[in-house]
Formats: sequence, C-alpha cells, structure tokens
Amino acid sequence: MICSFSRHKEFNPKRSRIRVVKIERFFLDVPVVCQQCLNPSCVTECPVNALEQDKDGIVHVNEELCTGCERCIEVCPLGAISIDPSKNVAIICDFCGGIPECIQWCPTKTLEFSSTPFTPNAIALTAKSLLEKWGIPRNEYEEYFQKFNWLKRHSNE
Amino acid sequence: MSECYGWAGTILRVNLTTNEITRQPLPDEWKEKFLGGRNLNSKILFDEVPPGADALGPENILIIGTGPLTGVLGPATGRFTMTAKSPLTGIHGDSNAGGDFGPEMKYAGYDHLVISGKAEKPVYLWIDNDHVEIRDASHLWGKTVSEADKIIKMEDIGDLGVKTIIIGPAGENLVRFACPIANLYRAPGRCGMGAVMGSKNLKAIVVRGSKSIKVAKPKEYLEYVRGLFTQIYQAAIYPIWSKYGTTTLIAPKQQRGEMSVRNQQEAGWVEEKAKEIYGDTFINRFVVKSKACFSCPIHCSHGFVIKDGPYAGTYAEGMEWGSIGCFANQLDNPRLDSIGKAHELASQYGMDTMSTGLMIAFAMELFQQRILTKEDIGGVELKWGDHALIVELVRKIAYREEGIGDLLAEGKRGLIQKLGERGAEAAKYANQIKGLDELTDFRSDLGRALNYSTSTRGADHLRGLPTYSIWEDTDFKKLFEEKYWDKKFKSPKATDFQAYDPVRADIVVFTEIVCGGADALEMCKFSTEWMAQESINLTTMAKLVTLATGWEISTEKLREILERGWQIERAFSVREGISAKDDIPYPRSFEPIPSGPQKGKRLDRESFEKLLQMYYERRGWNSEGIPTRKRLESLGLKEVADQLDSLSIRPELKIEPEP
Repeated sequence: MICSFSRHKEFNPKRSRIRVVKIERFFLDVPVVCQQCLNPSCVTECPVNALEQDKDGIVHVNEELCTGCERCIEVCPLGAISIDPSKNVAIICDFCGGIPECIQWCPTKTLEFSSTPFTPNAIALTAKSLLEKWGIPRNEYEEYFQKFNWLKRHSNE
Repeated sequence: MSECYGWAGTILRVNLTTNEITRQPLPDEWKEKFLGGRNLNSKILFDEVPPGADALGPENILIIGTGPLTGVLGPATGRFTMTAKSPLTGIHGDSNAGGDFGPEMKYAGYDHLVISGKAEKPVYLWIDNDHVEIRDASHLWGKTVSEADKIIKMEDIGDLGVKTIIIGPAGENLVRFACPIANLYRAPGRCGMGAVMGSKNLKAIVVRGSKSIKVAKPKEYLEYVRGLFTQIYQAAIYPIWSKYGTTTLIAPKQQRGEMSVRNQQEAGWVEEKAKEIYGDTFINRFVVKSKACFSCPIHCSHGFVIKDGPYAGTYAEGMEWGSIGCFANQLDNPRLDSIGKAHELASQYGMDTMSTGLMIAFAMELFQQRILTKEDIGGVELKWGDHALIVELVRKIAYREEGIGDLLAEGKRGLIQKLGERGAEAAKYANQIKGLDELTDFRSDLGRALNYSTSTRGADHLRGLPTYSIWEDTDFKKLFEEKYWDKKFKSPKATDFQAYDPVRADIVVFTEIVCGGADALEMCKFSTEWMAQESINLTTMAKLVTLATGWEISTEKLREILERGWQIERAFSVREGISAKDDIPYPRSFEPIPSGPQKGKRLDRESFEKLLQMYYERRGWNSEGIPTRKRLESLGLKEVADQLDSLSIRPELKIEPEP
C-alpha cells in the first residue's frame, strides 16, 4: 500500500510496483518486484519502445508511449510488471530513486537491497523449496505451479 | 458525486430471491451516526430483519461490513464483520475475521454488502469491481472449502489473487454453528453465519477490486500512522505477540487457574498435559511460518504442518488459543496433533472451532452424567481425551451423520430440546449465555463474568472482556504497565477481581466500547487499549477517522457512536424476547471451583445480580435490562424506542414511559 500511496497519494495494492503473490492454501507469500535484469526482455520486446533501462539498471516506462498491451508482462521472467488499473499503462519498480518505501515499512525486514544476481525461475524454485521444506505434499502444490505459470501471470488480468 | 475519503461510498445490495443487484450510496447520516463495520451492520440488521424472523429463512439478511480505515494502511485494519440474526442463539449475531477479504471488497468499491432472500439453487456471488454477478454453484455444492476455492480460482475465474468467503458442508447442512471461511483459513467463527449462507443457497462470495481509496489529509495521516506502527513495534509485548499470537496466553491461563477442564468441571489442568499445548510446544513442533492479516505489523497467525504420527499430512493456518483450548483442556485431550487435525477439518468443513469443541465437551459430560446414553448416539462411547473420536466427531457433525452428528449439529439448546424430559437436567451442564458458549472459566474474575453476561451476541471474550486479570495475576505482568487498570479507573478495586464494586461495571462498559471501536473500524483488538496498552485507544481511533475521512470526530463523539451500536444490538435481542433473566450466567458459575489456584471461587447470585443492575444503570437500561426511551432518544434513536414500545412483548419488559 505504501508503494501506491507514495506515488499516487492513494491506497491501492494494484497500483503498486511490488506485489505479494500468494497461494493461500499453503500459506505461501512471495513478494515480487523488478530485479533489473541485464538486457531485460521487457525493454527489448516492447512493441512501441516505451521502456528504457537507465545506467543504474532501473527500467522506466514512458507513459505517453505505453499502450497497455501487456507484452512486457508476458515476457518478464518474474511477473514483476503489472498494469496500472487507473492509467492502463505498465508499472515497474524504480526503487523510489534509491530509498524504497516498502523496505522502510516492512515489519519483518523481509525486503532488502541485494546485489545477488537472480536466475530466471529463482522465485519459483524458492517457493517450491519452501513448500518442500515445510512438508506440504508435492502432488498438492504442483498443479498450482503448472496451471498458473504464476510467476509471469500473477496479476489481475 | 463528491470525492469520498476513507469510505468507498457505496453499499452493494443483492437479493437472491429476485436476482436484483442494486447500489446504494452510503448515506452521510449513517456515516455520522454509525461509522461503519459491525456498528453500522447492527443498525441495518435491526432495520431490515423483522422480529421473530426465521434465522434460516429468506427474511434473514447477511451483511458484510468494512470500515472507513479498511484498506488505508493503518495498523491491523484488515478485518470485516458478518452480521445476521443468529441461527444458533436466535438473537443479534455477528462475527468478524481478518485476512484480506475486507480490504479487497473495499477496493472493489463497497463499504458494506447486504445479501437478502434465498436463491432457488446453489449460487455464488462474483464481484469484480463494478461487475456483479450471481453465478451457478451447483459444481461447488458439497465441496469442502479448499476444494471449492481451488475450482473458483483455477477454473472459474483463472486468478489466484481473488479473495473468497466460502462455506463448506457444515454450512450447507445448516449446522447451527457453521461458519464461512475467508482466505481459506480466516473464520468469522461465531453465531452460525455459515448456516445463514447455507440457508440462502449461497456457497461463496468472490471478490476482486482494483479501485483506489483516498484519505482526506494524506500527509498528516501518513505521519500519524507511521507513529502508531513505531509504538506497536516498541511495545514490550510486541515480540511475544508476533511470535506466538494467542498461544502465548495458554501458559498464563494455566498458571492463573482459569483453564476449563472437562466442560468446566475443573479450572486448571494437570501440568504435564497443559505443557503439551503451550505456545512453545506449538511453535517448536508444528509451525513453519508466521502469517499476517492485511496491513498488520503483528503477524500473529501461523502456517503449521504435522509431519508424523497418525495425523501426518495435516496442514493449515492457525491455530488460536480459542481453537486449541476447546479441543484440548475442555475435552481433557493433550494431543496437540489431533487438535491440529480437528482445526484443519473445521476449516475445511466450515465450522466454528470453539462451538464445535465446546459442543463435544457438553456431550461428553452428559454422557459421563448418564443423561445422554449410547442408544441416543448410535452406540458411540464418549470418553474424555479420546482424540481419534474427537477428530471423527468433527466430520460427523459437519455432515450431520445420523445419530450423534445430527444431534450435536443442533447446538446446545437444540440438543437439550431433543432430549425431551431429560432436557432440564442436561441444561445444568450447558455452559452458555444467551446461546453462545465460551472457553474460559470466569469464576475467578468478575469482570470476565460480567462481560460474558452482557455481551450482545452471547458469551464471548471478543465483545469487551476486561483482559486485565491475566496481566495482573501471572508472569505476563512484567510486559505491561503495572496496575494499569487501577490507575486508569482510580481505584484499587479495579484489579481486585472478586470485588462486587461499581468500578467493575465501569471497566466492562469501557472495554466493551473499546472493542466496539475496533469493530466499527474493523481493526484488530490486539493493537488496541483492550490489551492494557495505550497505543491505540479511543482518542487514537477518533484521530485516525478524522484524518482519513476529513470528518471531525472527537473521542466523546466516537463513544456516542459506539454506544448507539451497542444499544441497537441489545434492542434487536430484546425484540426477540431477551431481558435481564437471560444475562444470568449458567448454573455452574455459582458452584465453587473444586481445585487449583482458584479453588473455592464462585459467583454469588445476589451480588452478581446487583452488579448487573449497576451495569444496566450505566447503559441506561431499566432493571429488566431493556434500553429506556430516555437513553435511546438521547442517542438519536427514537425510532428504536418506538419499535420496542410498539411490540407486544411482555408488559413487564416494556420500556419505561416518559417521566
């Protein structure tokens, strides 16, 4: 909520650049946010060149050019992009220019800045290994992962 | 329409008989007089459900309410209340839950949802912002909560992010204490709201919202909220709540001697058994993860998994002390793994864990006293601590299996009725007030006793129980300001828990108001002054409302708003025939505690009745416990007074005429 509030002065998790993907059945919560890929496919695949990565790795959306076609959402390996329901343009985390509000507000200090390089599907692997570690029967969660390809498609489309 | 702050500004109404879907602008007068949440739900229920209505008939309505702080970042503000006439108690009924259904409903644009009528066949309600649809649910009927949730998310809607409230087989089968389940594990447990949904053929409510909510004074509001979060983090109790949740209360309850054993035959359990259910045992053996409700820094809930033994493969979110206690000490069952299983099944079948455990405890004692026989219950032998049987009974009740299942599904009053001539004897062991039952032995704490007696939905700790006895009498006290209540009420009698002193009534009215405030705003009571800490008190609540909505609300005004809701809830029940006689606790309350640290303590009937009169006086009720016209009119509730006057209730219950 703090994300949408700091941008738009209104509360709306679906206008936030960070999302918590949940599989409620297994009490799983995965925060998903842009990890600043090297050579990001959202930028290269954008049909109208509305996305641009700056020298710090932050991907910016040119709202005038963006048509809300969702191509970037499809190609993002993390599912870290969504469409702003008010403006119908893509929204991507820009790290609040260096001091992310979400990190400041996180009660459990789960969120942190890290330079660890990520690999595609890293989050899926983490999520699955958590469920495995917890002892949730594999056959019960596997279909959620198969059905949803949820890393890419967690948004409210 | 002018810009709306805090509130979404709309009440969604769905009539399942006519399939009409309408949107009513939230009237300014209602905001001003009732704020929202449980408080406004109660007014709508009073206005729209006629006296004597069948709680399981189409004339009952089901209301879901959020508040003006729902979805706007305040600490622990993610709850919602479901309200209807209760099929368990026959009076005003409501129950609330956390998770994130409430905020999602608000983001879809609705403060309250009012469901009336009855669908011809099973349906579910799909709310996708402005798109509202009554959908066929024949493919979901008969399914457990998680089965139905999976079909809805994976097949019907295709979105894991939608929020659901679903009933299981217990609600479909009209088990009197069935409850809906939100977010798969969040139960508005009490008062049988699941049976109300079942009676309407309403399997589920599914919502997705993507609208924004604004606050009137964004900058000040944010700063104020930030300060409250900081206060919560700094409280000495914070690390304890956030690690253990309510399971931290188990050890002090045992220490104090208020843990009810075997349907409250004893208070205080054998230490070896008690240790098996302590918070530490639960955390170390089964918990894999902390869970928070929407916008909550405390994250007191848990994901837990049972990996070995006869209940291996059990997993769910929970459990609270309420669930654990009703299946543990009340049944003399120290097997925490079996309790986990019972809890999981109750979540799947959609049944209140508290009423389920307490119903089994009641049946077990009736069996022990030879009032209930093997012949009544299909040859089953009810034995204390028989964990396999307890788990099996949860299923039998949910499916109303012939014999014991069907019998227990009727609740305590229903069972008493079915026992015919034996009913009067059985009633002696039915520990309930106005049809609702509670876990904790209150004979050692008059404040608790008084609150259970006056609670507008029947005996229940979340209605304003003064929490102080645990803080003062146990090791827990080092986490709180010493003698907080004595200082607050300027009387050493405040924490003399056996004193029939007027301050007792003052405290109970106060804690009921604080809890009412939390419910009107749909905040969690954990972060409020209810827990003997200053962080979120009535003044704080009023300030939050003022900054969020732009409506100037003083602490005094907030108190008045909350008083209004309480009076209306009482009036609803008075209209159904409730009076002072129904506020008298159950027979066992007047017998001495047989053993343990509180040995010998009991309520004194005459003194307790005097205490009730002191309470009535403070609430502006007559000696029969009926709200007076004077009090109602001073709160702007003339129409409620007129209603009570016009009823052909017994003459002695009539509200007193104008002086």
